[in-house]
Amino acid sequence: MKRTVSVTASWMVGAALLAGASASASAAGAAETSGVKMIEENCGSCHTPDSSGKFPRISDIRKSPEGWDMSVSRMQRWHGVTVSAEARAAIVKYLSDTQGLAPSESEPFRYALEQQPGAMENLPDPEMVQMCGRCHSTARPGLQRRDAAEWKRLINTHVGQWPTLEFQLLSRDRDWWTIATTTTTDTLAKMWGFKSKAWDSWKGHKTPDLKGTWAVAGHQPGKGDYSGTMTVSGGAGDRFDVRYDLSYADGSVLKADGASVVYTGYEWRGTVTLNGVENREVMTLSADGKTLSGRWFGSVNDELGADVTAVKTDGKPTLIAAQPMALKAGERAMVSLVGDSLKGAVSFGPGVTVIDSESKPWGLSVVVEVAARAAEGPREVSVGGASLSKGAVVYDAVDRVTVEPPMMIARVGDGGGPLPRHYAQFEAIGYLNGKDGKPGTADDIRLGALPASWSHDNFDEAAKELEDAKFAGSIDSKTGLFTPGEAGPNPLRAYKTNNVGNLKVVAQVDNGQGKPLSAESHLIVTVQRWVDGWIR
Amino acid sequence: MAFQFKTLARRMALAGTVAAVALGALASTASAKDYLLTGSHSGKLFLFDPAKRTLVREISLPGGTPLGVQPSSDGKIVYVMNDKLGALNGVELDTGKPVFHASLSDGDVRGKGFVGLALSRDDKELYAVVYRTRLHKTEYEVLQPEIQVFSVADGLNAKPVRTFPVARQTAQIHFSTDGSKLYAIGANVDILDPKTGAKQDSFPLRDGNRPNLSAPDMLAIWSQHSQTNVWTAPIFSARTDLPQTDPAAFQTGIMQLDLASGQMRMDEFENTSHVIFSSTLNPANRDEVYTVYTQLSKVNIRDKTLVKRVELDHTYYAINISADGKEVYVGGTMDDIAVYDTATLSKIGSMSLPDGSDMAASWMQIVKRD
Repeated sequence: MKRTVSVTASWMVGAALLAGASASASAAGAAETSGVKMIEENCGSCHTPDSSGKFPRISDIRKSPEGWDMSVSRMQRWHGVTVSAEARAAIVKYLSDTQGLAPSESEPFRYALEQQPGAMENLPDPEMVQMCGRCHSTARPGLQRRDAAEWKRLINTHVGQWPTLEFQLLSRDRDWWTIATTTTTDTLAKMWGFKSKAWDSWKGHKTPDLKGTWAVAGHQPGKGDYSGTMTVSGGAGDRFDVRYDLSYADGSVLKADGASVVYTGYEWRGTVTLNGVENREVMTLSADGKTLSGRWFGSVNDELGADVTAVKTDGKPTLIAAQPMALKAGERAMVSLVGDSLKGAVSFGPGVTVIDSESKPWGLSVVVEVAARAAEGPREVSVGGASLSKGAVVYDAVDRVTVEPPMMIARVGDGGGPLPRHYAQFEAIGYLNGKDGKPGTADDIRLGALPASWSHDNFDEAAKELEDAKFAGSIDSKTGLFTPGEAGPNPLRAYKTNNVGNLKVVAQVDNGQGKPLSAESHLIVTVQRWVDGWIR
Repeated sequence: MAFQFKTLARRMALAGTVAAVALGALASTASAKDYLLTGSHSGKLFLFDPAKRTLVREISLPGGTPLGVQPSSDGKIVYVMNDKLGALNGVELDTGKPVFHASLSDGDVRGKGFVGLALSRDDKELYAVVYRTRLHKTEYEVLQPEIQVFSVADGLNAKPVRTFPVARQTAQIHFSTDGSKLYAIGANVDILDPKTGAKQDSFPLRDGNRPNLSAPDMLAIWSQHSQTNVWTAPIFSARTDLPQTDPAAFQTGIMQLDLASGQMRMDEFENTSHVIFSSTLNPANRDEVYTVYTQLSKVNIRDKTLVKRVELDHTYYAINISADGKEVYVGGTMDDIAVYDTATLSKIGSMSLPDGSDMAASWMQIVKRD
């Protein structure tokens, strides 16, 4: 499969290779020496260090690991720089560690690093939306730190590399160059300047010892909750080997081996092959080294993946999930309580009786009976000294449903073209209206994903006229997975247009008492993304 | 899959056409007649006889896909902007022989063109708008764009004989019919001395102040106005006195630049409802403008009314017209050129690129040849 960023496709593999090669170099100092040496050898003919050892341009920027890798990739593609996979990995590792972002700096933009499908941004500044946001996510600049002069150099790079930029819509209506090199650079430097207190205090933070067994809980849209263990070994050069032993709520089992590198003391980046499909993991490690959280997703189809939380089983009682979260009144349910050192009395609050309990490597499996008159609402779940506020919800009837994501993009692909199609996965999420009895208010209670019957239709009259629902793809009525049509002009369509479309996706759900509820999402099926990168 | 087979079958059928074309020489007739010239993603030029609806010549270009395609006035040489917009190339239309080449880069200054390409009226000098960037060791430095002037006589290793700075965002350039003025279409229309680049006058677009109308957004990509010497382009403006919800809040119009008289005018003719990419004035009736994208439209620009609009079988970017004004040709985008009757806007013919490649945004020119 040919992905647009073909040169970047193997960076994690490269990282793993490098880490393997440097496994004997245990001292952090050696890694630093190696990183500087790699930059000198691979980048130094242009980025010649000055008398203070600073590399021009390179030393004036801070970025995420993805950002640094994109920079190296550009040097390869634009300037023909030859860098081995090992050197590329070493450079990215070194720069992420020494000129990275503090956790609080990357936190607002996790959705971009995790490739969360359907993520929506609240852009900070209308002019920034027009100047930058028409091509980039806010995360693209937001995951970089530069001073004004360095942001200005980036503007020069933009126009130098893409001279037609000044003619695009929202450029040609204004003196784009003047605005970009004055107001925009000043705004960027003010929002995301090079120096920060957060980085000053985080810089030098070492990766904690992650070796051992971790309890894992997560949710994969279209498939359901899963739980299990993750066994981490290694650690030299911040490189880890990982073994997963997971099972889904539907009983299916997933075992896999993976590898990861931790950058900047908290940025976990892994690769793992799941059911024959290569997946990437983007997780962040809590400051105490106890919890990893983030998302794993297809290396090609990044829209398909799962959220994940893992807690290290080091003897400190911790509860990270109760699965399923929603417990129906008057019914019996098997619930997985996932966490570390879950021993002692189990409580879901009044009206929920634990009638059986079995210890598992990832926590406890319990059987509960929910009284028919158990009060509706969120429950704190506790096991011995560990508890999870609002870990479960008791409900009698689902009050309303929504479809997530509320707006989504799928892309045509395949059909003999160079890019694959990109799917859209939907879920029906149930809610209780809460104490006020009104839908859509702050006290509404989320019940999680519910089984639904899925269909799609034309979004509006224009879509109907062009028969979008017929051509743009199809949705699996049971799983909510939308498969877009093939790429390329379609001679069967009006204007021979592509299989694009403006659709609504409809979920029908039973409220638990035989009453149907329905909800919609808006799906745009559009053309391929020809230019792509780790951060869009 | 079905349509791939269809495409294959069509390509096989067209391959037969190419073989037939290759055997025939360009028809030589006593008087000048119109040929249609365009380029494609396969890095070729295609010359059609639109009256006969036949392909008469196919030329492989040095430098690949062309955007700007500019024939000389005698129809002997064709100049193109190609090589990823980094060079100008010229070929003989009869033989395909390369006769001109100029890189737009010089040393550490990388030059890129776009849609600013024009040939002097005496066919001796080729003008290009060049966007320049100095590639320092570790950074780019964006420089002032300039117009580079080449002598076509310099052949395959041409260097600029003159350069002069031009305003940022200058898109197209057009010569007045007497060759004394160079119109630089950008944020405004600057009227330049083609010898010195000195600005003689300016027609305001962005800096204009039309009552109740925003500055026009103009799509100035195609330069294919040889039948009339009136360059036209679609313009889109917002009414500043109306709420955005008003049906008339956005207006579509036509910009005209008469290269003989120097007159420029902008006329809105409808509430914006359709996209337009390119347009052409009718040489036989200068009140009529034809526009194209996914619809073909006939506009009476004197009355500022839409006369007729028909749906097309797919999107077409480029448009041109016969000398007698009876046929319009819509091309670009895909691999076929459709012929429409200007009186009825009904389709009366078509021509296809034999290699099935896309014309994309390539200009589609009329070449007059004996």
